[in-house]
Amino acid sequence: MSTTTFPTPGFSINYGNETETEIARLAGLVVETPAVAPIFPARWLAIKLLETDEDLQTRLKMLKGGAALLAEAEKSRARLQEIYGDEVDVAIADRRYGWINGLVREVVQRPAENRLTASDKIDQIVTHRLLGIPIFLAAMWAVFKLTADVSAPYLDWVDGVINGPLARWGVALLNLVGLGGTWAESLLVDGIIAGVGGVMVFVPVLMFLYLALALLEDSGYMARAAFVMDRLMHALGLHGKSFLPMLVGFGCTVPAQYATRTLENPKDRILTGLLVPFMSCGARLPVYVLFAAVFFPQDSGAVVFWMYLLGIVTAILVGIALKNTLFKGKEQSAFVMELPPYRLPTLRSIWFHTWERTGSFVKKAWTIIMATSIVLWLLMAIPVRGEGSFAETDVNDSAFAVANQTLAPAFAPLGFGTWQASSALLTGFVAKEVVISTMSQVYAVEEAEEDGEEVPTFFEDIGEILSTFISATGDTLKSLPLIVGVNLFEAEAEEEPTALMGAIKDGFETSSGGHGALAAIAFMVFVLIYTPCMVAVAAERQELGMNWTWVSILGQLGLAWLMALVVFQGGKLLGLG
Amino acid sequence: MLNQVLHEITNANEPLSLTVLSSRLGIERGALEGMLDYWVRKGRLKDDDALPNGAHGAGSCGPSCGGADSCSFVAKMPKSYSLPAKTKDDGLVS
Repeated sequence: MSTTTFPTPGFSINYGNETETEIARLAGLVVETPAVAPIFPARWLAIKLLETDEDLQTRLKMLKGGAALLAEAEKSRARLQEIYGDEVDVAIADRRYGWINGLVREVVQRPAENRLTASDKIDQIVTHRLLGIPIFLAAMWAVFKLTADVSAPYLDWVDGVINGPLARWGVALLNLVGLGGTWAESLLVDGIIAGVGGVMVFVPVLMFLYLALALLEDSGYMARAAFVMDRLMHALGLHGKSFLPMLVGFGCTVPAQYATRTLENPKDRILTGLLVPFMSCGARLPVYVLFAAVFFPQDSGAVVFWMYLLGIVTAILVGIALKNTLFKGKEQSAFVMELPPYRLPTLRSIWFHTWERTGSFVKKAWTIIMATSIVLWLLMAIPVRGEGSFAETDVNDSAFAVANQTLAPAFAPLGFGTWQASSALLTGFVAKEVVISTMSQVYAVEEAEEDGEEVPTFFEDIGEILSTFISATGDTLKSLPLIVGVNLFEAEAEEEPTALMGAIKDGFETSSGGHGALAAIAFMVFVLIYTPCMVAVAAERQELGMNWTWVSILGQLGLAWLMALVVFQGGKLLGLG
Repeated sequence: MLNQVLHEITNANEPLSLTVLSSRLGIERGALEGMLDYWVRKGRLKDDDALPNGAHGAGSCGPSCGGADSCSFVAKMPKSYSLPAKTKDDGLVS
């Protein structure tokens, strides 16, 4: 066996009298062990033995006299453990860190003004005990103003493209293959374009939402938002880390359910899993934007903001109620969060996040929403009364309408007891985007074309798409000051609502006895509170178990109905809407 | 020093940022991070970034979704350390 000599370090840490005594004793024994002494520095080995270094223990067992050393080390550790009341390696590490910290304080001198970084100075305001929450709310306000108001011109552009050129091209293609005027045209126009197209119209809204969220994430603010809200949750007796999964829930409820696994305690995990669905996911946003545009066109950004805030407040209040009843337990322990330094977001990163998330949404629209739209079209194409035949029946006489008419009375006290509204909520169990696609299909509206209007050619359509895109971009730039309340559009005439918007407005005004705006808020509240989607239910089942999943589904349905009732009936009593 | 860190976290009545903990204990931030990682290795603190097995990749929200580990909607959350759950007799979970 080769022998190596080790340089003796020029310094040594004092581990305290008791530990030093044991180190000296063990080092003496090492020196007296001929098979070990030439291989390891005595003091170093003594310390490692006290720290229970497993590698060294294995190596020593193979050397003559090594087992005896290990036995002596065991005795030393037992003596020291009795003195410190903790593992010996903790006491040794504690001394080391103390020495390191002392050394740093002695040799590193920082000017007073450099002790706080720029991020630390910003954090003194952004994570301030009193200012933190208002700043968070202001950031949310800006996000939803950007999302709802600034995206509006692009939303109109996409709507125009889908219901104009794309629909015309589709029908022309069917005419070419001899399917024009058949059930296939109905499937394309009333099923796929109305359903999938109805949701795709909102892609610009989601794109702006993801852009705003990417800006907050990449700048480092999102971490502060989580920290500030965690502190609030903790102060209210909930687990501080509950807000982290909730923040994920702004994007999608499914990963938010899985994010509850960061909570160690099963009770905290279940409680947070029950609260996560109350956060407004991206799929609910189109519903808010559509209803805000129909009933509150001047304040659509504010309406979306209040809906998101209502979700957070509901989650907190339900959490407090559950914490004081079913989940009663001891005080929550604190935790330490590493806040990353603020950074200037890069265009590349912002674009990547925005594109990736928007792409996920679009892919979903082409799969789940298209499948649902086709099934709905089929149900709406089958007549169960009246004189119609397959695909040529009044939608009110269809199997889908008749089936949903049995459900509608349950929503009458909430102001939207029509089969159209109840069917949108029913299909919304599949995914919240489907609420919009269903409405586009069940209201069966067609944009009126002016008499004698010539059908544009393909190249005219392309030119129209490009020119309206440029116009939408100009309007979007003009919309930016809306975030801070400056409206550059005031002098311009208000845009005509689309046929779908008109049909929704008429439907809600009729079903609510003239309180359409109140019924619309009640409908949005219902959409916010009830089950997010079937995949979220599957995730809940996996994370919470079957019993809690049922509690969650039924609880959300009951709470959604109650809250919508309070909004509609309470609003009527107060003379609102 | 190490025990001070653990003591401060155990007795804090609200979440702490690393900067606040660093200035409260007068410990350099870099050294503090090392101490927190030491407690994670000892099992007295939990690194919340290191999710338990199966936390990632489980479940997806549609045919286009690659599961929780590649979900584009999951925002990068800050690293955090917390006290592990305890058993009924207050012993650490093994």
